[in-house]
Amino acid sequence: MAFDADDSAYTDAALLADYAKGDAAAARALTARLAPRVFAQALRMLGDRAEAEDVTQEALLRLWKVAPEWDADRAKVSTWLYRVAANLCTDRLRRKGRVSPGLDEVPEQQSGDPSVERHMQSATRLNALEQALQTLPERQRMAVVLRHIEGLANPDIAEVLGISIEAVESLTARGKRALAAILWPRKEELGFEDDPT
Amino acid sequence: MTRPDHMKDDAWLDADLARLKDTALPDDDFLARLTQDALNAQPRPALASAKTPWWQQTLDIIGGWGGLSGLAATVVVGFAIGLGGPVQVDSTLADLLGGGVLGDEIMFAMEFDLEEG
Repeated sequence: MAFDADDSAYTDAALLADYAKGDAAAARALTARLAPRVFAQALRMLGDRAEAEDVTQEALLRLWKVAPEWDADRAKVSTWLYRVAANLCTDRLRRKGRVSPGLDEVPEQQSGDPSVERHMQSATRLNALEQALQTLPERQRMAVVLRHIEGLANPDIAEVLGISIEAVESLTARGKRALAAILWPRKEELGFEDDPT
Repeated sequence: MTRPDHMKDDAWLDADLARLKDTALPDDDFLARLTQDALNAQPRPALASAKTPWWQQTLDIIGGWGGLSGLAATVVVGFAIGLGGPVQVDSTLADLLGGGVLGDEIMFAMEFDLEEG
């Protein structure tokens, strides 16, 4: 049976059940659906594509391993996977005791063409945001990434991080305040003042 | 303490965070490797059937509970025939072959053939 990764008619749990029965199409659909989410989460947390790929691969291998015994009533597949990826990221960050790169490392770009300049400014702005994210404490960063980039609901984030919903709200609010405090002083350089919002 | 304007209205930050989502996509080669991983790790239907208990596999071979009932009935009937004497078998066979004179003649012919070889 063929599945479309974006077809919401098939839940992650239904696809995982088919995967466990040996359905190759379910394996492809689940990979296409889940891998980009885990990779994005890991990349935001680790700031390194190669490491994010390792985490994504490991998290998915763990999912395939538990698939035959999966109990759909106990957990959502995506939440479970985010939690595994979060733990793998935390392990790596703590093992390395890594220091996040500073905002000074964001490359400055020059150009004369206004459209190119706008494009470069936009890229610089996202780059600055990426770098600012890396400076947040681990739990704040995870909460902001899951809430504002991956679009998870607060109860799901609470489950991923193993904390209360109130704690999630507090983490995301503090994380956003910290990001704004870092980026706002560079508003002219990064073009926030030109925003219609 | 009053909060600065950019803290009160952080729509600009929400918008930029949302835009970040599209900048963290895995490349196609990596996705292909992950798909291969998924297929390699996938349980095989044959392996799944190996976990089935022996009695379940036997039941499946003979056609489930219906098959088992039929087999049991056949065994009982066969056993009953085995317990019965040859006369009863003969008469039963004669009845099956039509009974009466014609049946007796056929039975006689069969016995004669057996004796003569």
